Amino acid sequence: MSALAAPTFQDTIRALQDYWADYGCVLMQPYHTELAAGTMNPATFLRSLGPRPWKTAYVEPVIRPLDGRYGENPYRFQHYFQYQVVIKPAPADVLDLYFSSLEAIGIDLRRHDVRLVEDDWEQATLGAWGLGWEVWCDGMEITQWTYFQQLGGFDVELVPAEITYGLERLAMFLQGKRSAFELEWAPGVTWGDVYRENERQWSAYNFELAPVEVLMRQFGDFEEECRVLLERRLPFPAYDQVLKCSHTLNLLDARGAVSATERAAYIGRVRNLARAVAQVYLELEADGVAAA
Amino acid sequence: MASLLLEIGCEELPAAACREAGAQLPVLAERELGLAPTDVFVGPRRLAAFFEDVPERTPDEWVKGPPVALREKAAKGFAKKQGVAVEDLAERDGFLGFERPGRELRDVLPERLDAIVRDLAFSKSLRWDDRGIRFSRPIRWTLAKLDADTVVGKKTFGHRFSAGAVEVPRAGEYAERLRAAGVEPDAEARRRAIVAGLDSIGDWGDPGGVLEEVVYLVESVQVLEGSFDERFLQLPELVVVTAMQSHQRYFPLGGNRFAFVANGGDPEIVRVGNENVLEGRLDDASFTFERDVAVGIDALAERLGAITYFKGAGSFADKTERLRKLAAELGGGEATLEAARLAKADQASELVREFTDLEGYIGGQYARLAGYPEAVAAAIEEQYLPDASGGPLPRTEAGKVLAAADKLDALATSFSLGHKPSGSRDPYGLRRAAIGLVRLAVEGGLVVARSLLPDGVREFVEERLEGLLAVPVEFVRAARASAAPDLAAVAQLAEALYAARDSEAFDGVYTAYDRAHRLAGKSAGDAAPELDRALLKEEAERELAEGLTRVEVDGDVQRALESGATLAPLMERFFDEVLVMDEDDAVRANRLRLLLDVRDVLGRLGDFSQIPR
Repeated sequence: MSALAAPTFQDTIRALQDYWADYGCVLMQPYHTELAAGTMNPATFLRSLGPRPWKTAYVEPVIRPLDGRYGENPYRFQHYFQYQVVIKPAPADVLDLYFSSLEAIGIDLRRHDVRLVEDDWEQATLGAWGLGWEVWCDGMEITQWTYFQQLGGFDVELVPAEITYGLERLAMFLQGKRSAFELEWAPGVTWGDVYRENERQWSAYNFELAPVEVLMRQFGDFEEECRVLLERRLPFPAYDQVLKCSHTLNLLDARGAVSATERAAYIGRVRNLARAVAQVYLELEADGVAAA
Repeated sequence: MASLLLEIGCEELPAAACREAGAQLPVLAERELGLAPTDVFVGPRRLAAFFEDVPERTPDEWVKGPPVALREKAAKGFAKKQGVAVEDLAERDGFLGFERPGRELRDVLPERLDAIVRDLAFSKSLRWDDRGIRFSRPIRWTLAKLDADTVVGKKTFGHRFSAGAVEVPRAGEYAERLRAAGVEPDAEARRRAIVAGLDSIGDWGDPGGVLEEVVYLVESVQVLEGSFDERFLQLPELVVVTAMQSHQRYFPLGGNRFAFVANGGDPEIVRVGNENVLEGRLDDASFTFERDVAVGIDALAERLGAITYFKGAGSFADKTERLRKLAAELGGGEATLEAARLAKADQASELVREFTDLEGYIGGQYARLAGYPEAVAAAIEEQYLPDASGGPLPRTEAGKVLAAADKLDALATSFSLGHKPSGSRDPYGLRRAAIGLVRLAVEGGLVVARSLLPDGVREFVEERLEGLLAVPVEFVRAARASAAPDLAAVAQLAEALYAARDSEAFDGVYTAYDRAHRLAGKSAGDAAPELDRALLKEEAERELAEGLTRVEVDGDVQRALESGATLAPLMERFFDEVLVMDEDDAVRANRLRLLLDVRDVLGRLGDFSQIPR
C-alpha cells in the first residue's frame, strides 16, 4: 500500500466484490430490514444450515442503536458497514483465500503484521456459536473470522467459514486515518460528509424518541406473527419477524427501557423464535422445498 | 535406532489450547511410541515431537488370552478374534496367549500419529470438515519423518507470510529448517527472546500477565517499541494500562511508551500501525471519560435507581442504601458513609461499561476529580478488595469497612433469595466474598460482629475460617461455638486453643467441660431452669457452684483457660462425692443445672466436644 494510492472506501468495497465474485461467490445485496450484524442476514443465518453448499459475499449495513454517540465520537456509530463472506463448506485453503483478499485490497502481507487472535463467537439471540479469530493487522482488528458450529441451536451439517470484514476499520487502516469521519468515501467526499448528520439524528431517535410503549407492543406483535408464519411453514417471512424482534429489543435497550434481567428474558424469546425458524427451514430443506 | 519427528500443522491455535496440547503431547507420544520425546515444540501453527533414538521396530508383544484351564471353551474364540491359529497359542503363567511380533515403525507411524491427533483433548474444540475429528482449530497438515524418510505428509510450512513450504531433509533438522524459514518452534525459546527483547527496551510491566499469551501469538519474535500522545496521560492510569494490555497485549513502559511483540512485517510500518490503533482506543476512551466527568460522580450516583443490581435485589440505589446502613453498623465514620453513598456511582458511568474490570477504581478517580477527600476516593477504589485469593486487602480503614459492607450485602442478599452456592456452582461469587470478609476481619483487623451476619450467612462465612487458618478444623469448629463476639475473635480463639492444646490449663478445662457435657448434655431437658443455691446440700457441690462464680472466661484466652481450669479439681471432687442422679427430683434437676452451667460457662471458650482426644 502506498500513501499516494490509498483506496477510497468505495474502492475497497469494489475490490472485495471483485475478489469474491471471481472466487465464485454469489454477490448478495444488503438486507431490507435492520440487522445488528451481517450474520443475521438470511443469506448467512439460514443458508448456513442444511446440506447444500453455498458461497456468498455482500456489504451489510449494521444497526446497533446503543452504539450511537450523536456523531461526536469518531469511533462509535449506530450504523456502519460490514463486508460479509460465507463459504460453505469451508475449503481447506480458506485462510489462504482470505489472506489473498487482503492482498487484493492493497495490504502487503510481508510488510505488515497480520495475526489471528483467538475470538470465540457466540450470539445468544440466534442460539449460535462458532470458534475463530479476530484478525489483527498491525494491531488493528480488521476482520472477525468464524467456523460456525451451531445456528438456531442446530449443529451445522457442512461447516461454513464466515469472514466479516469491519469496513471502516479496514479503510482506516488502508487510508492511514484515525477517525472514520475522515475516511475518504469517494474522491473528495468523506464518510463523515455522508453519515455524520445521520448519526446525530438517529442517536436522538434511538436514545430519546423511540416510542417505548409502541416498541414493546410491536415486539409482541412480531413474535406472534412469527408463530403464525411458522404454522404456515413459511420460514423466510417468519425469520424477518425474528429480525424485527431483535432490532426492537435493541431499541428498547437504547431507551434504557429494559433491565438486565428483562433483557435476558427478551433474548430468550428471540432465541426461541430463531430456533423454531431454523427447525422449519431445515425440515423444508430436507424436503427439497425451501430456497429454490 | 532412528530419529523421528511428528508434526501436526494447524490454523492458529489459541494460547490456552497450546498449553493444553503441550501438557498432553509428551504423554500421548510416549503412550503411542513407547518412549518420551526428546523435544516437544508448541506454537500457534504447529505441535511437534522429536525423538532422538527410537527403535525402528515396535517391541514384540505377548497377547494374553484365557486361562489354560478354559482352553476347551475359550481358546478357539480368542484365536479367531486375534487372527491366529489355535495351534499357535502358547502357555505363559497359566494363561494362553501368543507373541505378536513387533512391526516396522514406519508401518505403524500413520496410525500412531492419528491416535495422538484424535486423543488430544481441548476444553473448546470444533469440527471443520466431514472427517469427524475435533480439535481446537483445523488441522491443515501432518508430517512424520523417520530419519530422512517421509512417512506421513510431504513438507512443513514456514512463517505464514514470509516463507512457504519447507523441506525437512532429516527429522533432526526440523527446528533449524524452521528457524531458517522465520519460525521459532520452541515456546521456551520464544519466551526467552521476548523477555530479552523487552529487557533491552526498558523497564517493562505486565500487570495483566499477557506474556504467557503472547508467547503463543507469534511464531517469529519481533519486539518493538511505540509511544502515544502525552495528552492521553490525563486518563486514569489503569484505563491506559488496560487498553494496552487486555485489548492489545502490549507491555507498558511507563509514561507514554509501550512495547509489543510482532510476528513479522516491516518494523517501522508495524510500529506506526500499532501506535495508531492504541491512540484510537485511547481517544475513544477519552471521549467516554470526558462525558462521565462532565456528568460528575454525584449525578452518576443519582442515576443508580434505574440500574438493577440483580433480580430480586433491587437497584443499585437500593444497594447503596444497604451499604450505608451496613457501613454504619460496621463502625464506619463520615468518610466511609460518604464513600458508601458514592461507591456504586461508577456503575452508571460509560467508562465502566467499556472497562468493566475497573469498577471501583474508576469511581475512585471520579471522586478525586470531584474534589472528595482522599479517604473517600480511596475507599471507593478499594471496595472490591481482596478480589483474588491471596490478593491485597484495602489499605485504608474506610476501604476495609466499605469492602466488608459490600461483601456482607452480597452474601445476605443472595442468601435471602436462595442463591446459596452448591458444589462447584457459585455464580454470584459468594465463596470469594465470604473469604474476603473473613480476611478483612482476621488479617485486616476489622471488627465484624457475628451478630451482623444473618442465619445461614454466618455459618457459610465462618466455614471459610476452616480453610483459612493454619489450625486443625476441630479447633475452628470448637471456637465457632464459643461466645466470641466477632470473626477475628473466633479466629484468635481457635489459634489460642490450638496453641494451648498441650497445656495443663487446657487439659483442665477440657476435662471439666467434657465430664459436665457427657453427664448432663443429654439430660438438659430434666435440668432446673436456674440453679437454686438452697438445694445445694453437699460441700463439694457448693464448692463447685462457688468456684464457678469466680471463673472469668472473657478476655485473654490463656488467662481464661487458667481461670476455667480451676474448676477441674472441684469437678473431680464433685464426681467423687456427689451422686447427680439423686432420688429427689428437685435435687437431681438442680445438680444437672449446675453441670450445664459449668459446661456453658466453659463453653464460652468453645465447644470442646468438637476436639477429639
